[in-house]
Amino acid sequence: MWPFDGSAVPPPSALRGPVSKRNKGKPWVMLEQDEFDKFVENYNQDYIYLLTRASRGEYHCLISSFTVLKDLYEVILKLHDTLNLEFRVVPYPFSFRASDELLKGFGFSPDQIAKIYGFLNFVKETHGKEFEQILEEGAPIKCVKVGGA
Amino acid sequence: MAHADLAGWIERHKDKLTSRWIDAVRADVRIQSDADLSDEGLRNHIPAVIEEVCELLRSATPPTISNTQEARVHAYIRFRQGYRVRDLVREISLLRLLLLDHLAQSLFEESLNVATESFVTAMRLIDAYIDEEISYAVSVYTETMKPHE
Repeated sequence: MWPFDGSAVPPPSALRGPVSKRNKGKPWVMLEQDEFDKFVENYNQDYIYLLTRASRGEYHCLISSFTVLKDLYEVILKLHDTLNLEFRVVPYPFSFRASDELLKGFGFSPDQIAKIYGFLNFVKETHGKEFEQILEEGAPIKCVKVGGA
Repeated sequence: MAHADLAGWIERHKDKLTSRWIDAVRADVRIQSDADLSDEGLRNHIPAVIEEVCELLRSATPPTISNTQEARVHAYIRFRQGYRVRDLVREISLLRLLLLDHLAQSLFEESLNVATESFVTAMRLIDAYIDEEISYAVSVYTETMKPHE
């Protein structure tokens, strides 16, 4: 559940494994497939939760939450790319702009989808930047009072 | 070196490229999964993918997790639509051909004055971008369907 409490991320001590030939002598990071699956499941739940908030027009602080979630998404892809892990659970793709098909697939109605897109406009209006640009910059966004992003 | 001119050249013809891609997919008898999709369903995320390719050219950076988001959305939606993976690979491959052919035409546009070096770099970026999507798609299809131990 959001806000993300970090429970999905294994503690650093659990990530250290033996030096492997495969990793050319560097200590390698170990993460079990089951833990990774859980990590992805939690990301997916959080992603849907944030989209649901957007679909209700609850935009307050949402941009901050999406910024954190994007980092998690990138960690998942990085872990998948670099470790011997598989997408037994597929992480939902992070981008949702112009993705009616995707959002319909998650069960959102046309009205809810309109509100999700409304969030993108809201971000542009309140921050003067596109949603993706803010995420890319990764700068911490402070929540503003009532009605802020 | 950024390739803003080449990105603009592709972006200006985005609609035409999308239409030609739909025709190419429909005409390819090896692709079966599109049969039940309307043109809108088939078009899906392709315009967003083309835009992302243009952004990649503008920034002249190799594909990373951050700048291949729309490609993953496209692959994920196809997965959810029940597309066969080989059909997805073929349709992505058709997009690559279309984009590269279109890029080649830029060499004959005097107003663009494209340097060979710039052309080759842009070509490689598009190639790498499409390969990223294919790699992701193969992961999603094969790893999800693998029986869990």
